[in-house]
Amino acid sequence: MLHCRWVDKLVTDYKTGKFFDEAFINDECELRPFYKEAVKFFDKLKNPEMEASLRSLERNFLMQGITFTVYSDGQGTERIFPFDPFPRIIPADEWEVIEKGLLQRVSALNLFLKDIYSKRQILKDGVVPESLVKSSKHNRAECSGLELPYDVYMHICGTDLIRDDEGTYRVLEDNGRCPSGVSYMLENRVAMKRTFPELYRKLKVEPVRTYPAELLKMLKSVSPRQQDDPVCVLLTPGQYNSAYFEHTFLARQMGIEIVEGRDLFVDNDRVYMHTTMGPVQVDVIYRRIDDDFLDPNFFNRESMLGVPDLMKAYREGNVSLVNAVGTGVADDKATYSYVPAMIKYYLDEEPILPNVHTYLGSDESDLKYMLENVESLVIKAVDEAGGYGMLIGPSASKKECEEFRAKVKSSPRGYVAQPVISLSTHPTFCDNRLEGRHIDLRPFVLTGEKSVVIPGGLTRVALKKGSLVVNSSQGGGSKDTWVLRDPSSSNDSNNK
Amino acid sequence: MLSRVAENLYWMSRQIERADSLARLVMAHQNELLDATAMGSWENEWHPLLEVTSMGDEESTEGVVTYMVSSRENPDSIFQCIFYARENARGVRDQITEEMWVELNSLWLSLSRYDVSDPDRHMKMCNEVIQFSFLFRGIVSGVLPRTDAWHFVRLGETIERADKTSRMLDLPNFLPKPEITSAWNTMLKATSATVEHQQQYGGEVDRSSAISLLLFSTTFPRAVRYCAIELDRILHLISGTREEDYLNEAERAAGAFRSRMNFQGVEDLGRLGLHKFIDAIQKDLNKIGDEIVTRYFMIRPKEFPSSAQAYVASRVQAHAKAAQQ
Repeated sequence: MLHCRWVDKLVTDYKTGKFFDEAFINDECELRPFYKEAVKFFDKLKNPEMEASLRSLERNFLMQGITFTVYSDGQGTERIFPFDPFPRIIPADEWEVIEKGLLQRVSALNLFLKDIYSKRQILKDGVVPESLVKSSKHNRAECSGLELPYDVYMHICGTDLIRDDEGTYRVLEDNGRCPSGVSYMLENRVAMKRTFPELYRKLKVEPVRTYPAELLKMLKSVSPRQQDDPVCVLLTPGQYNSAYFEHTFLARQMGIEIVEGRDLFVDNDRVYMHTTMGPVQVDVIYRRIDDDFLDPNFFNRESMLGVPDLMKAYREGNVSLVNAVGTGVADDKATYSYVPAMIKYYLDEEPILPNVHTYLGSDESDLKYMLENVESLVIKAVDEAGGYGMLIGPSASKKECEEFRAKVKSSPRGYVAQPVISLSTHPTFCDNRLEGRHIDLRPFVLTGEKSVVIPGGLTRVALKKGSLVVNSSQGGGSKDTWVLRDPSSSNDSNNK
Repeated sequence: MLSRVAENLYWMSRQIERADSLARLVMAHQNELLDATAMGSWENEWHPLLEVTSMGDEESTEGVVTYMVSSRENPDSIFQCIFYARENARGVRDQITEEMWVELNSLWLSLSRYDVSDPDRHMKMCNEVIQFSFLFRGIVSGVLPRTDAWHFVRLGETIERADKTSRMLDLPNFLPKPEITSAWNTMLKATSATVEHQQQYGGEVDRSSAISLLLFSTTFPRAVRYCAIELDRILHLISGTREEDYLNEAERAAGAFRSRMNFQGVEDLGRLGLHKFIDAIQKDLNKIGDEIVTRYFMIRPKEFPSSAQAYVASRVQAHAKAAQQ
């Protein structure tokens, strides 16, 4: 739900505090040049106009049923993802760095995965400890030695970026299994273009609407059958999954079938879908199901979501899975800390986007530091996502800290720790005025024969004052992310 | 089209038609009952409706209406039909239009909210279902592309309609003699055929004219023969086969049914008896329904893993349950 009403004076006493703010340079309301136009625009809108705009935005989201499911109440209630209409703006030169950094990172991660599932040279050379890979819950040694098209494992990557107190972009984590959120990026943009076309036109924003087409192109490019029109499908866990809206959205945008496990079967190591015209062979499966649930005859025997013998067809090279099986070993939060080393090892380059410093439970001295400083660290389970299995020391109770200390002690490999990073803040509509709220950024990288970074991404915002947790399941909302096309836009201050 | 999607659309449509037919029958019967009760000839007699809809026995007068309309326990009650229709629609929300989903969802929400202390609630619910059905069919006809989605929605509607009209004609068998004339009126009213009957046969309603219209008309859309022709056509449209030919058992069964309806008439009923004739129609429709399920919803390879077999078995049971009234 939109959470703000409008007053005449937009910027009164905006406080940046000790944080890096995306729009304001200081507490004197001095603006970064590329935000001037937007603030001026919102300032000029009169109360009724703004309210009408907000209502139209809200109606748009409601009508489209842009929802996600919350499980905590035991029923799986559908909710609207809260949306803040003030766009996050990224100037062209900043984006150029982000784009290069992401391409570098994804290319290193794919080389790492290829290596781990074939020669394992990086382990032999001692750059990444073998024990770390072996003990990763998402390591799929069974998938070693496969020949994948273009040697790509992580076809879709949603890397979470944050900005520290200096404004440096850092990688917080790589989501390389089934990253979600891209439908919000697309729908947010549709809503913003409909509601604020003037501002959008003026700022010359890079379009994001190419994403479904790029995704389909990539899916087709990794088809094992070389034919004009490979059959691609999106495999969903079903209508009760939290991201079902996104699944139907993407399938519809790409014009491919959305299937459940029971729509597919394997015969003679080939995958088919049941259609009214008989079985149709499937070439590429964009699966939104975790490895564990893909094939009850191979992984989780209890899985009702998967397709029996899918892994046989996959290993025979008769069907492509996107992302490939086993990418989780690269987005493990402990592996994460070695990504800068991978970049040097495989590409002989310096990392363009630095990591956040990470203490590993598996490292003896790190572990000691972690146990002594639980109260001042962020502790994360290495194989969880979505803000689950995580402790923010400074804001946790004594009891919670003790619980995590015990957890880390009993399974050190399962945990990492990071210093508390104050995410950057961004002006956000709160109770009749603009206030700073913490944000992050999830851009999406698609990799087939080549990699493509969609200019934009999902900016998530922690709507609760002071909160650092941006996950939708934990009270986060989102903003549209505007990457500016004009390279001169960041030096705009001269031609006001 | 995916088999699962076709299956959901087909059952969604059947369940809506089932609810609609039952609502029409309940309302028409109520209409006749009110006068009969006033004349003191016939006290609240709802049991014949249970008989013709094969819903089994339910004691107490109040109980029967509740059982047929709003019961949560009776899988064939109007309420439950709408519930299943909605569940089927929910699984294919990306395949149907927003308007279809919104109307069906609203109906279900509304039916769930009736005040049980309202003595007239069942008639209000029936009326709401009938109005919804007109609206929903209108939306489908106005916006759904004429692809497989359209054909499977039409298929479900048509087969269910033929089934319900034919079953209803069995009503006189369960009525005391003096009430049989009024039963023909009930049936014409329940199928919105009163005006059509007047135009074709004049004022008096008798057995022969009612049966001619409801069984053998080729122009009245709720008549069994009309539905038989439609069924055959829709099946051929799905497979793209010429109507004089057949590609699968579903088409063959539908063709046979269409012929039987074409080449028989009221005069044949004397020999066979109405009840037996209706039984034969039921058999034909069940056969067509089974063949549709086998041909389009459960295409399986020769060999498949045991979990898939278990799944198919469970679906077969579900279908058997849904098909038997």
